[in-house]
Amino acid sequence: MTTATARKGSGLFYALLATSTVLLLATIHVIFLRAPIEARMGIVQKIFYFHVPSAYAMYIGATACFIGSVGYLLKPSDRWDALARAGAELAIVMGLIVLVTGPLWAAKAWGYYWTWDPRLTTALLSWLIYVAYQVLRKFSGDGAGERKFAAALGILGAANLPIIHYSVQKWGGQHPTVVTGKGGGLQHPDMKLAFALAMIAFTVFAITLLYALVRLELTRSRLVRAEEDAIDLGLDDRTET
Amino acid sequence: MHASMIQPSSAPVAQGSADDRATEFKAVDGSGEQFNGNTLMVEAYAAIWLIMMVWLAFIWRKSQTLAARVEGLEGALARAEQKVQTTKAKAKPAATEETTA
Repeated sequence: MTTATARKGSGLFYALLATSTVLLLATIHVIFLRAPIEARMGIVQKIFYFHVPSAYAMYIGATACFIGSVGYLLKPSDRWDALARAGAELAIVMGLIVLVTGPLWAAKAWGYYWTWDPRLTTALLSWLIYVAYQVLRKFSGDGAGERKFAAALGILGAANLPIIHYSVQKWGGQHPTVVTGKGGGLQHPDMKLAFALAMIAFTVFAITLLYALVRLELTRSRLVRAEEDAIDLGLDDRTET
Repeated sequence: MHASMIQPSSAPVAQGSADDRATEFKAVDGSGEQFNGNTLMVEAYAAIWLIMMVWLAFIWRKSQTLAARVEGLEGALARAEQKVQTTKAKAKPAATEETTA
């Protein structure tokens, strides 16, 4: 990568970072200072404004992992692999936020932290697939075979996403449909604003994180190639000692 | 442990379609809080920050590992360069001797 390209990339990163910072601060302001308290659940309902956008950001990560995995299987390159790996990492972090904040909200709304509800179970399963993906990448080396195997796992993880989404409609359970249900929640304009802002903020934030992670993974891949070249040319004597 | 952590012996199972379970948020003015709502909300937001901080530490560790590998590679290249210069320096007097002879 040339210095000019790297500088341009940094400029884009800082622009994304600044935008997501402003949006997240505005979101916090609207959630806590404008959006009203919910009648039945009280203040704990405000978890919703981060819980749902985190799940959406997890979908963004999982989709990136899927695109990167398919791209790698069709045309193996460091770029596709970096996108898949970064997407999986984002899906894990955002998924963890969903799996931690959801039970805290459920404690108030349902009276218990966890139940083996279809949506909760499929979300946990999906998260475990991305954890398995990262464990595989961490401990199995970085060869073409390992990358292809991980790509297959990345595609499998994405196949679970529609199941999470439709599980709540097909199999029932406890999990409500606030956003998509007819006559559902978010009737108050400030609640709608807080939710819309949170969704936009998390989208930009997820893209920012994804971009930074892809760049980090690409740097790592370039370093691996440079190390291999140095060994091939006999310049790297570290393997001799 | 939270009182709400104790799971009821028979968890209620919602029936009907997804629309039947649709939740409506009704806004009220003033405080509609109940006993542990604040605690749960603070715990949720604290968890988000904690997850982000731990992740940041992981990313930092990853970049430190990369930096260490770059340093190792730079060291290896420096040693290789030194080796080449030493070989050249040794070859120079020999070449001069051959010319003189």
